[in-house]
Amino acid sequence: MNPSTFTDAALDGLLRASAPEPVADAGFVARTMVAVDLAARSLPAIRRPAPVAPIVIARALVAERRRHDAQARLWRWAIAGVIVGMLLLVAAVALSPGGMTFRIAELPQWYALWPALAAGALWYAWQEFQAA
Amino acid sequence: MASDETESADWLARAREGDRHAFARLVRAHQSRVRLQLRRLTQGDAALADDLAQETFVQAWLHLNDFRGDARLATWLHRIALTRFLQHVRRPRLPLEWREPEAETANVPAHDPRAVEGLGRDVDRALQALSEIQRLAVVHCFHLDLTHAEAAQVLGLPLGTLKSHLDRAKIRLRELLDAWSPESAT
Repeated sequence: MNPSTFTDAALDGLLRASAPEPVADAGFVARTMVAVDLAARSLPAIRRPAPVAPIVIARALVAERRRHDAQARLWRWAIAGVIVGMLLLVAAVALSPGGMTFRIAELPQWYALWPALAAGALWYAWQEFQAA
Repeated sequence: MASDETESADWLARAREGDRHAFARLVRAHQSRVRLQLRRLTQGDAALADDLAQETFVQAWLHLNDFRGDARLATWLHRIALTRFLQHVRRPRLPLEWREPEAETANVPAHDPRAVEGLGRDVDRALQALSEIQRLAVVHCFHLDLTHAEAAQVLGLPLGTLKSHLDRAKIRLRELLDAWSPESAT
């Protein structure tokens, strides 16, 4: 076979020149955009959170207020209990026939209180956790 | 050209924000090349090619935000079109094997090189003499005006493999279209 006289550039030019004519639109874009609209509509809508009704907001605020009031009441009763206890202690000591004698207990004797303090702290933390 | 690309980037940005008119402009700008590509892939079945082109643009609209912009939009669209075609014919990828076509299809008749209208027909017939992957390499590089790198990306081939297919295709085409060479015309 004789070697071809075609140069690379000539063949490239020939191939480019043989490219088909551009395809006319002929309604293609319009039909495609109808298909695009249909496809866009068939997509599942993005789930947005439902708008919250004012009455629901009001109920939530009332419930929050009640929780707050209950906690404040609990604190007031606790503080009142401590004060009353202290007063009773002072009164009992003052009225005792043998007079007042103060004696600080030895350190090991306080150890017995620690489980009670720990239990109280845990109970209080649990209440706070539930309220949150 | 630069202003076209700027304008196209503007349409793309607006289409990404949901502007369908901007997307319609992109479709108008790219429809011809995508339809030509699919007509080649479907062996000239214009109706099927148009259906696949429409699906290509619908897919492009639905996944417009996935387009990262590290390639030209045309390259991305051609890639979607090819994928859509392969899904249609239920093939996972293009055939990569070297396949010589039948001898009779390679027979390009003699012609008058001055007949310009005959060029397209003769090149078409010569392209039929190539293997499918060679034909697609030629079509994507010369008819769709993609760079070698872009054509490789569209066809899912390594760049070296694409160039190898192109070289083999050109050797064959040089033989088949020898009558169109400038030397023959003189």
